[in-house]
Amino acid sequence: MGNTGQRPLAENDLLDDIFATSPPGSRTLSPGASPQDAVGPDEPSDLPSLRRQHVTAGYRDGVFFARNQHVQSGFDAGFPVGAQLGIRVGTVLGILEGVIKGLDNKRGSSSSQSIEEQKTAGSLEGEQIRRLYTVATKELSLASMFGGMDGNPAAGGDDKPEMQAKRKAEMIVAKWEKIVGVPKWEEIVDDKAVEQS
Amino acid sequence: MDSDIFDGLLQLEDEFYNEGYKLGVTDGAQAGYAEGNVFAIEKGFEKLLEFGRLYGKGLVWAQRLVVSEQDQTAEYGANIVSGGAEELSVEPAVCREMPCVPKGTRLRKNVRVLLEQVDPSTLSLDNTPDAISEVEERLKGAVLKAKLIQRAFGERETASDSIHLQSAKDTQTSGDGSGSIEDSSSLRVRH
Repeated sequence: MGNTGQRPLAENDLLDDIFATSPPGSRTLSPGASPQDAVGPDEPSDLPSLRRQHVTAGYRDGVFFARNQHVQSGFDAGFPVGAQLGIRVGTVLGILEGVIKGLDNKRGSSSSQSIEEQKTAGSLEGEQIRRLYTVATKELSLASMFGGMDGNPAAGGDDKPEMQAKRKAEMIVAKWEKIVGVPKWEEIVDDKAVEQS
Repeated sequence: MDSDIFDGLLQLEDEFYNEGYKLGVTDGAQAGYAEGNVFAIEKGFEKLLEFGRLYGKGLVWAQRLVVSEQDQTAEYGANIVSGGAEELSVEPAVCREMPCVPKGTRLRKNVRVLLEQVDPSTLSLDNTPDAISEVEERLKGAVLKAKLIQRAFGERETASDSIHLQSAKDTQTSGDGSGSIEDSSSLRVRH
């Protein structure tokens, strides 16, 4: 091949032996290089198709190369965002589950004294919390919080996709943290820490 | 091959190719990033959900322990679910409604250890092998602790609990040797 030195970009050399499509190295096989074209770029009728063919081949190679390079960086940036939200959602659901179980227990083991009063008070609140929990599991599901996300920047915005996801989920999670009163429950951890020190 | 004749054309082909290649790199970088990103957010979410769940349960258990030590009649009847229908809020006071907790320093210790294990503020959430394996180690230990505590509190295992415990059991290799010893002792506390 006598034209190796004429390639303007180094990437082409890298890709020559990877891609079978139509990088510069294999141009003798491509229909664009048929003898009719040999008259040169001055021939106007074949130029658009030649251009389309080679731009497309370059585009395809470029996408493939860059995509593989950036999947990992996208993953590394997204993981902590998802993890953080996962912990917060888990905390909300865990508190609700713990409360429901605690109240369940009570109903099962309640003694005969003032059973009626207990039942009215307990079951009503228990039912309310149970209903809350059902709604929470729905609203805090993956599908509800991240559904419809394709990772592409919203029209007009050039935010990273993980920031969009964070903003969208943040509202829902914050709402539930307020409903469940997570900070109030966490006070006990702070108290304990003081106790131990 | 007569390169003198082909030179002009080949140069042009290279230019076209490179023009497309540059466009492709831009689009591919964005597509690749987005693809990895969306996948990672879901993975991270799923991986840490159980972690948070145990933390939440631990907070409730800790609250119940504290409440059971306090005067049961004090402030009885405080709002458990306060606010109107639109602004419901679950208060820790709800634990006063729950049955008394079995006494025992071991249970208290288990709850404290559980809360330390799943304390979100001491956790690195980066996607590094070290951070991931620490999360998995701590989760494994926390699942076992939670199981002990749950029994001590006399709580039934729900279907979802059993699944989590089952999967934890499957992946358990070494674990902490104290698990089985504390297991039997907490069974005696149960009533």
